[in-house]
Amino acid sequence: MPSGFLGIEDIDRLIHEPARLIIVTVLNVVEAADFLYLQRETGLTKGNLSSHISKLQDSGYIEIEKTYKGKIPLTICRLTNQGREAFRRYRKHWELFIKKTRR
Amino acid sequence: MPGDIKRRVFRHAFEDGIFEIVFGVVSLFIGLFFLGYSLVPENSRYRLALPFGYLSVFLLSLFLIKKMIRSLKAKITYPRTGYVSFQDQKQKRLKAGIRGALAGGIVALIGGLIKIVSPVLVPDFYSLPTYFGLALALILCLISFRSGLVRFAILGVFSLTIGLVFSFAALSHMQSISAFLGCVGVSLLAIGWLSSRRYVRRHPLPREGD
Repeated sequence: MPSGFLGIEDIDRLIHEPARLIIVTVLNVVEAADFLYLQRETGLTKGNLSSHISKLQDSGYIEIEKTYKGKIPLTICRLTNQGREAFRRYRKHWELFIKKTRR
Repeated sequence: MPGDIKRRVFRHAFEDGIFEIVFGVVSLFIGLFFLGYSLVPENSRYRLALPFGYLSVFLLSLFLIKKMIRSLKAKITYPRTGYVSFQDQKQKRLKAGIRGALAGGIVALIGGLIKIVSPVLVPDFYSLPTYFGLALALILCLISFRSGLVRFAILGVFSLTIGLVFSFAALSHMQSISAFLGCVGVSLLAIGWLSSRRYVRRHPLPREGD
């Protein structure tokens, strides 16, 4: 549970960044998605997406698998349990914040 | 927002026209089996092989569906718009099973109603194209609803209409089933081919460095 007055102080800043938020949101509703799919959904450049994915991977929120579908090489990203839990907490924080700031 | 993303994922799976192409080919294949069978004389010993024929056609169709979808997706879809798979395969299968059972129940119910209402359809086999058409229409309308792709709803209405037409046509039951599957197969193939062509035009292969 958030400790601050509005609960916003404890928000997960790693997920809070808009590009990473889109990546995590997409991965939260699918089992797995490859780099190209994420690039199309987020509208990010290859380099930008790669850097955000690395950050999420380093924090243990997503895992990456390099595989083949037919002869096509794919870089598949998956949300880990830790990532799923972090996203659930992030949403909870926001819901609480919205509740507290409702007029 | 997740509902919206789910719809986008679902749309991504069906917008390339591969589903229609594959099921069109399989419908034609099964249709040809029934047509071939209708040409075998009534008292021929080959008629005894019918149960094995059904089983072989069923297994071969499953194999064809899996193989064709995999290979076409790898050639057309993944290099253009990427790969994505749905969440929780076990839960998905369970839900699909429940939906299938429900659809089957509805088909049986409506089939029963049609039989009561229309004495023309008394011999069961003659109403098979209607049942097939109805089952296919339900599946296609569900896909249309979940993906937002209108062409599946149109195909659904078409398959039901064709099913009704061939149930009342003056053909033997094998011929009516094969004619129904042939028409559905050709229409699925045509729509699939057009959709696939449009998809390829709209999503060219990414160039190196993109």
